[in-house]
Amino acid sequence: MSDVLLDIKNLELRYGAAIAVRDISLSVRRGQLVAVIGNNGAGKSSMVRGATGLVCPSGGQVHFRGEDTTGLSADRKVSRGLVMVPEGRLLFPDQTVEDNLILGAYLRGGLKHQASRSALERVIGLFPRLKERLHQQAGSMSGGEQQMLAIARGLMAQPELLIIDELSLGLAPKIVDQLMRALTTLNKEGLTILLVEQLASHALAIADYGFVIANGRIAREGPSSVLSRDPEVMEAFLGKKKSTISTPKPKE
Amino acid sequence: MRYLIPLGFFAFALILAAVPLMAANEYALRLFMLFLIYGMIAVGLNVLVGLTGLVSLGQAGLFALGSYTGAILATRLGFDIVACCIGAAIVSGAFGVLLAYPTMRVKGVYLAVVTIAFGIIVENVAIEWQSLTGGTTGLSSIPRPNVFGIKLSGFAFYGVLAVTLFVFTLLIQNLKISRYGRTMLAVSQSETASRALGINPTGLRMLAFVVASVTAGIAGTFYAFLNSYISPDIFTFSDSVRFLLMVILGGAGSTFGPVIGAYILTYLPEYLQQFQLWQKFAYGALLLLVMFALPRGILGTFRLAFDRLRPADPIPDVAEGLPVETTLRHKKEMWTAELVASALTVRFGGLSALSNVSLRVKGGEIHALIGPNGAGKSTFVNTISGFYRPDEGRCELDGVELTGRRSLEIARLGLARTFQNTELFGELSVLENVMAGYDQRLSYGLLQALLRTPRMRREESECRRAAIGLLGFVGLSQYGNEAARSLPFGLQRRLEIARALAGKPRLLLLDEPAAGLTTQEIDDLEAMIRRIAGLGISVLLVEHHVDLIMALADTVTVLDYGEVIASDNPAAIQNDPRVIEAYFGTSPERAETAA
Repeated sequence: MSDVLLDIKNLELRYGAAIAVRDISLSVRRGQLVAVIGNNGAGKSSMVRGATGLVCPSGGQVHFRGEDTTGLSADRKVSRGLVMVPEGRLLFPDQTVEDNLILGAYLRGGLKHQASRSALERVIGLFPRLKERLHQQAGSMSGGEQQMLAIARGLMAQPELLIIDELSLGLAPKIVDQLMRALTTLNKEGLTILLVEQLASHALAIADYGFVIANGRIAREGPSSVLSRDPEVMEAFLGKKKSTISTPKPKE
Repeated sequence: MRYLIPLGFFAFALILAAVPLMAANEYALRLFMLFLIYGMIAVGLNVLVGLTGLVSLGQAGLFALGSYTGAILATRLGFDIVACCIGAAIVSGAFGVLLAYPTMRVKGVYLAVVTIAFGIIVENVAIEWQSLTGGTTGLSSIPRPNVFGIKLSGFAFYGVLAVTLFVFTLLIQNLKISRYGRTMLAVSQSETASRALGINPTGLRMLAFVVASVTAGIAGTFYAFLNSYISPDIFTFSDSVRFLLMVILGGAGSTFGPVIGAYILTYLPEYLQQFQLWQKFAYGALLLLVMFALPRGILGTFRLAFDRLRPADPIPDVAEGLPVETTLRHKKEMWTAELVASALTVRFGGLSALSNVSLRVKGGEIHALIGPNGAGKSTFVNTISGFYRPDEGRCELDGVELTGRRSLEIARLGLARTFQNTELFGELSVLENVMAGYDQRLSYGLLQALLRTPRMRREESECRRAAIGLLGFVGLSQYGNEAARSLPFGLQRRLEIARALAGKPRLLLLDEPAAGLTTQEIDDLEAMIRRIAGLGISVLLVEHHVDLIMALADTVTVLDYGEVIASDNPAAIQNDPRVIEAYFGTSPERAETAA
């Protein structure tokens, strides 16, 4: 079982009296790109918060790299290699792009280490747009560039697993395609990715495996090629109407 | 829950009536009267701290102003206590307006510094203006309190103080549950959203400052009469800190919290006298301990614990709601609301975010605005809604010039908007958010709010029913009582739509309403927008979901690099090579075969 990187078992999460996550079991293997889809309020973001340690789960376990990390705080998890790109980006808007990136490497000792400097070079290579804007305030960039920066900042922590919550939020179709392609590239280079996404068609197109969350539970799971042909999933998330926007080609 | 507050007032009245009967000696009664005076200050300051979220560390200055005004009027002009109170209220109220003025420019800690400065100035003037204030020796031989020439006995004066504090607490409770309390809370959470809903943040902050000043001023006059002697060293900075502590310790924003806080901080020093040299240490340590154990103040924390235990409030009854048709429909002849933007140019530094953009949203039309990220869509939205000023060009709604008007005026003219990153009033309930959106349609004033007149109640109930109806319209009925911030992101967007609609707009500006929604939810949104347009409200839709735009829009305008590159019907836009190049990325034909 050593190739299971993240293993969530029977996760339960409450906010006061309200149950956000009832019972979610989900595992991500090393090298996989896993998609999680579901309606608003189904419990996707809460699941992410429970897995990353932003909220302490009220039940169940979260194992990362074989160790029990339930209840471990988010910053400790980051230092172990579990990094999240939060919903809505949450950049440090008044700081420059470069500062945002350096802060991403905070737990890796900033830019003092060779590893962080090469990570910086890598993310700039992946998103050349950021290089042009290194000294610009993060908050002054367009939505697409901000999302690139959010991902890049996550990568600066040199994660083993990158969890991305709502990649496509507020982005033009062309940019979504670009970012989806960037994720595919990162995944091919060996990064394990858990993508939580509303644009189910896009997410399933690049993922190996998918989970559907409904009412705080896993409603369906399977290889993404199977899921995207599942009639119920198609009706609920892929739309009855034929999509007129471009869809990235499935991963070969 | 509904009976908790009335029960509290009943208990409060009983205690106030019982104390003089049980007081052991004159000293005990005097100490209690001192508490009543501090209570008045705390209750008034609570409006500022608990509702508008502003901090004042200059209350001792206002207290001193009231005290000196009352004392001078009584000693020099022989006014009775009622006239003195009115004089003090006017003087300190005027200074309250003056103090509110800096809030237009400074916030948070900076504002606290401004109020500290004010307190220092008042203290210094009291010392130096000897001819009026008696300098450091202060003013003595203030006459015993009298009303219309009749001298008040100790017990009668107690009665005056007790009734005043009771009435202040009651009036401020009434203020809190009226449109004023609601919008003050709203302003403290998002000033941007408040302006977009036509709520005037400056006016509300000024009102809060005036309430806090008038109560402190009246309390000051009572203090002068109680003590029959005042001097500058009674009104120091540390007193200001103590008044603020009363509010925070008791629970900012709660009805009785400040009263409890005032009680504790009046009596605590008395009890701690047994520690002698360590008295101040014990005082500080105790405060530290209480605030650590009860982070939201005494009543605030108990309330939170109580809310967790008791069953949830019943969800507002859907049947109570007014149908949106009644709430929103404009008269047929008004269906012309037309937004015309002509040649708008906006520059940031040397950069043109918009250059020469013209756009026309016809009455009852759904007009989509699309373009790559960074094309200037958000700038356009912020410009027509009055958050940015255009460098060139102008825009009008229904023939009324919008350029140069403030965002809140534009909102009142009938332009409502939502925000890309949602700007909800997070701590308010879902229902209260929509009710705050309805505020510009309420017409009752301050006096009616304080007295809860029938008209106020009628308008409030109408506002509530309209809000319930709107929540049903956007499918959030079952979330009515929850805090807005606890809603999932996608539902927060729907709540923003309901809140924007509550003001009965002529034109609704939706900034990426479908972001973060699944296909099914987008279908619901599509139906919702159609119904909104069907009610005669023009819609300007900024969106990335191409399916939604193609299904809904009558006209699509495309922006790229701050310029309009195309404006036409959806079918033509989809085949425009420039739009495909700038926005879609791949040609639609290819995408169809790929999908």
